[in-house]
Amino acid sequence: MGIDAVLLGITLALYGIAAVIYLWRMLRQPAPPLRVATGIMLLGLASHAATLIISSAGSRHLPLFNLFESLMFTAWVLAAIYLFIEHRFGITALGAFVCLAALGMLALAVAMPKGIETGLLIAAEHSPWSTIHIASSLISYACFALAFGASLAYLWQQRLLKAKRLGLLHQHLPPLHTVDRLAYEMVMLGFFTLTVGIVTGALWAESAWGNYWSWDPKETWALITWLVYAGYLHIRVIGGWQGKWANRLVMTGFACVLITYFWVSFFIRGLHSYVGY
Amino acid sequence: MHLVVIGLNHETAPIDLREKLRIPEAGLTAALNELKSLDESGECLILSTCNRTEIYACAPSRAGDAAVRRWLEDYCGVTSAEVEGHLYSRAGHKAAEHLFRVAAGIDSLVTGEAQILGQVRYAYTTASAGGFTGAILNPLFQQAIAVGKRARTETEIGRGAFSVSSVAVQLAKSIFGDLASRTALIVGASKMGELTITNLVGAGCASVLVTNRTFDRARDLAARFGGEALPFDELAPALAKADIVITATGAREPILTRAMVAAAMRARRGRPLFFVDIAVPRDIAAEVNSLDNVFVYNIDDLQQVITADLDNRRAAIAGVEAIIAEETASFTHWFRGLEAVPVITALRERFDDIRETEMAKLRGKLRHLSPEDLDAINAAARTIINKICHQPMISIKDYSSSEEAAVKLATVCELFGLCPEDEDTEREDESIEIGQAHGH
Repeated sequence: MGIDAVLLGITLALYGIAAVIYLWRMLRQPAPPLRVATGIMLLGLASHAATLIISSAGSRHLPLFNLFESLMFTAWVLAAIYLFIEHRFGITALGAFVCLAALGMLALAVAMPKGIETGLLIAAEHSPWSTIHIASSLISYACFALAFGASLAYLWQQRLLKAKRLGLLHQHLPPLHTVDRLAYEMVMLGFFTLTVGIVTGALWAESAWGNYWSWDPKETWALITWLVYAGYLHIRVIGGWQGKWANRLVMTGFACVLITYFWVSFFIRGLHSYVGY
Repeated sequence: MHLVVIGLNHETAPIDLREKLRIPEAGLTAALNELKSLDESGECLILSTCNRTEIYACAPSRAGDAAVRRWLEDYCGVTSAEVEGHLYSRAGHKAAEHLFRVAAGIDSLVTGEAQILGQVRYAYTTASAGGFTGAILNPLFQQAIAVGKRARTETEIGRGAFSVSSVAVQLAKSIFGDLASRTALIVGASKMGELTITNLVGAGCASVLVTNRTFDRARDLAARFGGEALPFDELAPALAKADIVITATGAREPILTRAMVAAAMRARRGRPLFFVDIAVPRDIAAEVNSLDNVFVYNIDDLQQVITADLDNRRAAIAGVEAIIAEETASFTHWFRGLEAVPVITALRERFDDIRETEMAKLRGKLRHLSPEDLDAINAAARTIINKICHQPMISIKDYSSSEEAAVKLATVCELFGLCPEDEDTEREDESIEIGQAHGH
């Protein structure tokens, strides 16, 4: 077993423990203090980063070009953005969600058949846009995942308030306004990076295959995702709408992200297929 | 040393007696001065709130307790018969334990309330600033304040809401987060509504709107909070502006219907609207709560939150008791250790006296010894005393913190013919009830 496998195992264990403590804090008292959860997650993030560095040193390219690498990379971005939010804004309710999401992505990555040379890497050599296209798209997925988590917290909290069930969970979920705003900001960031991803993808496609857009399933679904979030931002910024339906729209957007990222990658053969083409 | 607390609280005394024994903050230092004059060598502190008046005193013996009690009666102008059966008195580690319970909020009328810790702190800073506390009460009260904080951070004892208006504030915060940019609208000028607004403004809510059927009363109330008064028929449009609406009118029928609120919600574009309906009968139609992004809490809902929170806090009492037991044990260990000090001092003095006497004899008999030789002999004698005393001193310290300390220390004194200055070697651990007052 190589050092990268050991580190990956440690990362999984640390995220798992952090998830348990974050969940514990929301559901049962007394619970270990927050700094324990944050500290363990931070250690997980560090060993996760080490795994990524070692893996890219071995493969001599950035960890973006197959599903294993992209899952590893996206999970890391997700955990890193969350820890930044927790540190900066003191929002801790998404800790369990993010740890579990990162854990799930890493577990899925481990289950991937390794060493498949996808067409992406070959195509990548033709264009400087490839790295920006993939990294930016993956960062947008991480942002949308956080927005989804925030909207989920919103809808949950509003449900508890409506039903007048004001237990421990209610107390540990953030105020509606806080998560509403967080979802909005994460969608903004995700929308920007997704736009960059789509534009650079078109540029890359032009240099690799000679046309900007070919209605490949991934392209189509990325566009649908983009339109859903554009719709959300439109009603939110221009119309000033917020609340329950706005947050449901954020969750719908994330369903599109999942289709774009997973369903298209696994089950549809096309230019973007990670399963070989 | 004798440590005692003498006082009464909401459990042992009715309100009219508590009022008579209340020592107001302004008179605190003067009262402490009088109390101190009873025994200049003692320490004293007064904790007086609307639910309790307690005197903590520390003196060489328990003889002063009666004087403290008499002083309290005289100062407050009550007779012994009046307070008979209502005053309690606890001594030694029981006094410390009592104070820890008070500071942790489990001796309060409303379990876990936070004000008492501030009141303990205030009583302590006032007394220590005037020099009324010393070697015993300073560490005791510092520990008590630490216990109060520990109880509230390590258990749920301080969590949740304590009154209708604090539930309203808590809920408003869990919807809007920071209240600084929020607008509160109060419909109807009632006492309860005013209290809720006061709490909301205290929690940071900056903008207040008031409406009432009688406009003048709306204007008066608005003026008090720097708010704006609105005519009653502008209620519907005001719903679009306000985030928190408190209704407290005496109307027979609901004054806000689903259609009115639905119209406001369209204008608000999904921005949450929080209703606190403290009126009976209700001012807000029951169907309003079914609208999206609208949260309606009536008086029963708020009351239920308070009850649930109180149950939670009561469930936390066991955890607080454990903390108090632990802290009381550590205080008792330290406090009893103090009793070893006079015995150890007496023992050392006894041995030093023997050494001095013998050295004087030696100087008379052995004139040929040089001063250097005598110094060497004296130093050797000191070393012998130190070595002999070493183990007994450790044992005496252990005895003093053991259960049978009084007997053991008396044996030590008897064994070495020591006569400690403090004649009163009786242990003062038992709580002495004055009359039949009290029971926890």
